[in-house]
Amino acid sequence: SLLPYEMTLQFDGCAYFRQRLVLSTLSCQSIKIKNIRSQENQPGLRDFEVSLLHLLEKLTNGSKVEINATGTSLYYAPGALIGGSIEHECSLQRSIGYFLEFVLYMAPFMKTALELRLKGVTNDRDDPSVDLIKYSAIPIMKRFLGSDDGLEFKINKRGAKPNGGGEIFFRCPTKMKLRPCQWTDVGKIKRIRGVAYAMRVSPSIANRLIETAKGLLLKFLPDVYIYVDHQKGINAGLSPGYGLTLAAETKNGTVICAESCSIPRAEEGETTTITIPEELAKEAVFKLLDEIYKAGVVDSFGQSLIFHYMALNQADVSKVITGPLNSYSMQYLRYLKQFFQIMFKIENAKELPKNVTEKMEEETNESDEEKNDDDDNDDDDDELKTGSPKILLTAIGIGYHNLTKTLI
Amino acid sequence: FAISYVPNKAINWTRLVYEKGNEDVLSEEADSKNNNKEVGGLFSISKRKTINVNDQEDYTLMKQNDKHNWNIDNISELIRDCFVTGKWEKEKDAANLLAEDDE
Repeated sequence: SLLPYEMTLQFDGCAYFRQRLVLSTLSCQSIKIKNIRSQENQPGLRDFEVSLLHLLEKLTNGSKVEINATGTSLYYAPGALIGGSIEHECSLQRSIGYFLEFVLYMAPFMKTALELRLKGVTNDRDDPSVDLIKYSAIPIMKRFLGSDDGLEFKINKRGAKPNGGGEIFFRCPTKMKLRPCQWTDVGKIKRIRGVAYAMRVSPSIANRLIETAKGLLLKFLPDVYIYVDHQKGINAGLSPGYGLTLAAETKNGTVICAESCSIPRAEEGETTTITIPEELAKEAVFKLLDEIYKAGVVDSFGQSLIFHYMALNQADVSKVITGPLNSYSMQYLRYLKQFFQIMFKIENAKELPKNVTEKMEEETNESDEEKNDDDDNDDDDDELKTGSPKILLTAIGIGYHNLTKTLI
Repeated sequence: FAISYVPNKAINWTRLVYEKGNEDVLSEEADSKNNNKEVGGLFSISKRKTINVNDQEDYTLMKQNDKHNWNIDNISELIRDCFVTGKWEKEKDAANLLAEDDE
């Protein structure tokens, strides 16, 4: 039999920290990470990573974390995901999105339904905001959970960098097993929604964001509505900030998101010129157009998350269409193989023989495969302009069952 | 400003994802002249090349801190049929379906 240390997977550096911890926990394999920022002036784990490990300890029972004196080496032996009611003060170095995204990968596999309250920075320029995660992740989770029963997401207070003060509430039901997902039809974008938020700044800023964004987006379609979220008093957090999150919704349940946020006052003037609301709104709109160009049934944020739920599924086939894979999701596919020995079939959607796409269409009832009829004789000399080439990913779930749930 | 990404149908994603060695650098086929770290978007996002992949900070999405010379007309031309206001596949286009009924 194998001794524990022989089963420990070894990693190097600070990269993909959350992916490694998530897969370690769900596969019940201990990991060791060495050389964490060992060459830097301030070596070792940062506050936000230690904060993430504390959150992980709250989510699990019996997990073991050992960190060496310099913080450059970490040993983690996972415990069982227990869930329940958990509150966590997130490090202000990273926004709540960094922590929440990490939780989404494990939330359906808890022993009891997760009721999570996270405090900290709700919006910044570095991590997906709580607004973006709400727009992008919830539709994906609904597909795999089977419904949105028991799924809840509330932004109670907002908080900008550097001092935060925001708070969100996230509830997720537990499942014995996830449902496989056949999602190969992106569908056309029918409307654009969004939220313009302003924290401890003049409420007119949110209106200026909306005016600029709407002006650009109405060139594409008429159904554009952006909500104003101008919090007051304690609900506006401890630092000034503002921003815009946009979500393009298709007829087939796909939500494509992008956003932009103001630069924290402390860093102002350092990196970019995006300081006025009109410029910021323009940035958010162009990032959305870029995401639309790159999207499949999920946007950039959704790629690794959807691959995760496809893999940790019952032993059934899941299929999704995406745009070009980003480096984060490509690494996730590699780690899924390393931890669970699962490989995805990845094909360029265009190169598939026509009968395959037609068959797919029968399975899913309708499909947005942008294949062209060779016998076209009228005006469409060109193909449909639906952005980048799309990719079809197919996987058979590893037969993952939430065993802790049966013990209740 | 030119749209940095020329669709390259030859990208072998299976190789890019699963073949040994690709963890460290993107293979030549996806590596454009700009040494992009990300491929396939409208805008190129380049990273400092000197950082080893294991020492990259853990960010889900690439930061887009460079301001681009955006041209909405160029971009809208590339994605116009993503919207309900764009052209539809022949088998789904209502006008087309009606025309076929008449034949």
